[in-house]
Amino acid sequence: MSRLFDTLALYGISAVLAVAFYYQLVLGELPCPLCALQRVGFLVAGVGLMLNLRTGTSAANYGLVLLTAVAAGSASLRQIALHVVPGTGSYGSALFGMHFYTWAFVAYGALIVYVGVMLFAVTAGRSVHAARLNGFQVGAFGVFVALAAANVIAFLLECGLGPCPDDPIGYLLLPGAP
Amino acid sequence: MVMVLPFIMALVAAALAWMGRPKAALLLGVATVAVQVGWLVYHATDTLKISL
Repeated sequence: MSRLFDTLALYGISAVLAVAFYYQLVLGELPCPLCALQRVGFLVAGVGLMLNLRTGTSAANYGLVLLTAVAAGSASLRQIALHVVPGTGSYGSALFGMHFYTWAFVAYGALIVYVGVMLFAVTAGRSVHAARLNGFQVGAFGVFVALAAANVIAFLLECGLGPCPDDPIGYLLLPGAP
Repeated sequence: MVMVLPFIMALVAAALAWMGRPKAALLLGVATVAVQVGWLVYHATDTLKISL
């Protein structure tokens, strides 16, 4: 059962990354540096889940998810704090009434709770060993790795080989692109 | 420091995980988190010019 949950969580992470790309590529909303750190968190969390599915569930893999969730959740909290004072504006569009950095904070909180529950299940003796990947899991891997590669390309084009601008208005390596 | 670096590291870690190399993937994953935290400290202490 934990393999199903990890697969669904991996699809969920890919869905988050895909929505971020939709807003970046279709609506032209470029990610800021703190947004980038939040995306990195989803990528590393996905790696932990992939390891669970590919080589067997372990506390170390969930530990990796936990570490990056705390780091990326802190980045989202920093961004929330920047805009929490009335009159300080916001960054990007809102989705269902909340901005993406707020959604990211919620997502990382949910991820931490998920890891806690799964660790409880693992230490209770219901751990799962490595097994052959089924089509559903290979699909999750493929979608996630494709999105990870797309993120590398997108941030390389936006920031080049240096830090991202605080308030990005275009792609550094694609002058003239929206 | 290069902002795209943690993305490259995460992509390679994902590839290693898919290839069934847990130790290398975990090590690279933890290193990615270290870079992520480094960038977070930088961006949590500088003055951001974002819509303020």
